[in-house]
Amino acid sequence: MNRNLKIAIGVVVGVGVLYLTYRYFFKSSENEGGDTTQEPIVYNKANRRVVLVANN
Amino acid sequence: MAEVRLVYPATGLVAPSSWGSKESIQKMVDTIDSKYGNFIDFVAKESNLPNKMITSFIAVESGGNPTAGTKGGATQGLMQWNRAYAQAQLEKELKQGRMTKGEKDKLASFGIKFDANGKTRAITNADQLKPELNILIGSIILGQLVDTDWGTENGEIKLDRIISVYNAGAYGDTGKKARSKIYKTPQDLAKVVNSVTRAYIQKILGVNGALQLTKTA
Repeated sequence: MNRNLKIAIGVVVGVGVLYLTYRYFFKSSENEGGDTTQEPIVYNKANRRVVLVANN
Repeated sequence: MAEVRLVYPATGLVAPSSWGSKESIQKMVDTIDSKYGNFIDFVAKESNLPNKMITSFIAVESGGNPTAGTKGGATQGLMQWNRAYAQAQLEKELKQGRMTKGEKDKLASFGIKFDANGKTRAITNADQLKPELNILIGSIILGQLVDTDWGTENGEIKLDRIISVYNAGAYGDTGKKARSKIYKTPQDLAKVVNSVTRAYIQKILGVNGALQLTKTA
């Protein structure tokens, strides 16, 4: 195989691996669309008391 | 006071080994609590959410790195919220009378004030990079998700659904499944959401996940 072709393939694969690594470790938010601005709020935060329950 | 339960870890879920060993996750959440504990204490009290829930989202979103994400990107910072979205959520929080005086004063200390129509200035990338402000806005967004009819059901916070919508948005395939209330357990929902969101649920709610390993309440 032509040496330049090997280098080009190596660069493409390398960039691909780096991109996938970045996506996996740093880009945890894959927003699929829409925000929650229009989501109705039905509970009162001032009235909320959270009880932590350990699930053993 | 309305009592709601937050049950963890979820049955059948384990934090993915690719995220790190139990020791490394422990070290990460300890470091987050050590560096940002004061800020987390404040927002937890104002939003009536558990400290460990806030810490867990910081852990997954940024690993505690206040500059995480693409430099200048729409979702940079500790909790990785989108700044245009954040502005809309802050205005919604105020409009619905949910914003506490403490939150309002704290936002004002960062120059985020509201006019007579309840509008505020644009949230900037510089805002996102301020740990205290980033955590405050993140907690307000999380509080709104908790207070939906799918975020809390039968007296229990459905954190798997909240994680899914926080991570993937409300109206895509993952968000629709999370909000549908069809999937009753975190294990069931994790099976049907996208792979990134599945890992997110496992990282927070799984055995040896952030919620379990965070020492604060």
